[in-house]
Amino acid sequence: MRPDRSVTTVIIGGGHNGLAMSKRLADRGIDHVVLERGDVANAWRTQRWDSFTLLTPNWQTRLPGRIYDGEDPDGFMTAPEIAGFIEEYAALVGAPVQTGTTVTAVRSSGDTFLVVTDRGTWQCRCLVLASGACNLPHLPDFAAGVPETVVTVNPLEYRSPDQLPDGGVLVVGAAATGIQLADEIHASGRPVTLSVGEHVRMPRTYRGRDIQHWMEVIGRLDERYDEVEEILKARAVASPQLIGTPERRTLDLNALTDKGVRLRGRLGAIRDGVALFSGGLRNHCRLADQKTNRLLRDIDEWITAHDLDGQYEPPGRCEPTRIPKDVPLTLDLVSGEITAIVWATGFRSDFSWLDLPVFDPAGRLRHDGGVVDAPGLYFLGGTFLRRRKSSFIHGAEDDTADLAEHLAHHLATGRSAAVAR
Amino acid sequence: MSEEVNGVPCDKMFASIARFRENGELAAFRFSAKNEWVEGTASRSTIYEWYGIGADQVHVQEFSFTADHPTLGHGHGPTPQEYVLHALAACITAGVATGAAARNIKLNKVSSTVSADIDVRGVLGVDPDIRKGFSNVTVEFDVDAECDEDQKDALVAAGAKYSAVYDMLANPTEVTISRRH
Repeated sequence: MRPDRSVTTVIIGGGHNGLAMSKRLADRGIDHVVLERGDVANAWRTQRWDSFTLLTPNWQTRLPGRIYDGEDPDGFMTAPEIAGFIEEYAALVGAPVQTGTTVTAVRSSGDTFLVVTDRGTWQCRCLVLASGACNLPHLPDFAAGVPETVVTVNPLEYRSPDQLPDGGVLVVGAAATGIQLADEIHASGRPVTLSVGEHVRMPRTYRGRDIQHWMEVIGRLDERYDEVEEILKARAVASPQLIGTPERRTLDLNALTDKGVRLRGRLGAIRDGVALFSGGLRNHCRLADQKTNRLLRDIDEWITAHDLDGQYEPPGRCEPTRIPKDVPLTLDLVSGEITAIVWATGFRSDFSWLDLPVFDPAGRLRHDGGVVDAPGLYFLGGTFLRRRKSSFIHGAEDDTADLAEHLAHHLATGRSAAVAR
Repeated sequence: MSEEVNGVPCDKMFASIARFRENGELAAFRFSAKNEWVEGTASRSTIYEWYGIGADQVHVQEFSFTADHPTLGHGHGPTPQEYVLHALAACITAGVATGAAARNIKLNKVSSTVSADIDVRGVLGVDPDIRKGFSNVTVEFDVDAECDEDQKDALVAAGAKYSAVYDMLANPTEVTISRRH
């Protein structure tokens, strides 16, 4: 197949990562194009629910060359607001974006890539996959065992409680998405049962400041992927149980329990129309509580080490997660008590169009901090790609700087090399 | 020279993990026990053969265990349920020992008490709404080791998280019973 056009680098995806990478390449004089299947910030416009807000505060929303300069630094952007921020960014950096262009296949051709789209084929020496880490919902194997009478919804198609039938709702998964949806669905008058596995608990504020402020200043967000003990485990860690609201409220399992949400353990199987939950709920909660208190203790130590104790409210610890005795281990999905299930069980990238030998036996992309196992190929987005902050908007700053340097070196030498620290 | 920490051969352990990471088929193990009825409520299991690392294997010797019943039996051994408590404690404790070894933490003493409640009307068929198995299994650990309290918590938590027996008790497991002859 002969390419229609040739360019040094193709960036697939016009979201915040793709656009940040575009700026990095432009700064280095590397010609490139950004291919986006919809409009810029497509996923934020088309795949988020109505009440969605970022869980990071506005002051933390920054991209290379652009900080938040609005009037509400401690607020949290809605989906349309972050989409607007990203659109303005695209214009600001003059990113060469070709919208309405869907990539249908990527193949190698010698030491170049062929990017086949529904608007022609591009040939390039370098390729940046910035198409997102949340293209598809990740569903458990036994999802097919849900009785036909129960409606199932994933977060990419969920918009508001109104689209659900009346009656009880089982929300599976208690990371950020799960607790947020459990909260608003329960408030709509549909009794929620929340299935909870391992989770990351965090207070919204601590000693008077947003938790993200502390995560940043004590250096947690800058922890590197090659410095943590087990990166695959770290990458599998769920998003923290945070919500962004004007009241800066903490939405933890105790808050949900107080509103009447029923907690169950991790959903382990569906057998003959019966949901089977793990008996490890109390352990999971105890572990999460321990980790949270460890974080708070680390923050206290940082404050004391910097002689700032007088500036902040006094230290405290999280109230232990309350789990009642005899939490049921089963839930009959056929009885009519549960009319809908929301799968808040995570997301994955869609690389079905990527026809390159760069996947491990489990179907995961083989990469080293975003440098994919094929010369000239890079990947952005995804939890803990290079640093703990990689999954947040501002993670794009350092990630794109590092990978652009690697890419530039690759172009200069024709060889891939270790990324400079 | 292979060094042991807490009696765990670390080099061998890491080498095995590396092998299994590279070749998942070698990690497919199969364990079995052969059981014979003795008398009354007592039966004896012998454990000798196992399959793993791509080949049939045997233990250093044949191990055997007898279970019985405290009131209806003849004193041959504790109940099968109590073997499960031992299995749970042993599995987690092995995990604590290997986890400490991997982090070069010296263990001085690790002890635990495992308890579980059971309403025996379940197994006696008195009331179909009463579960046959345990409710409320608790394991309480005491750890004396050369590390801080947080690390002790982490060792016990990891020991449980990566425990085969904890997993099969806490989570649904396929169990198929059949009669051959």
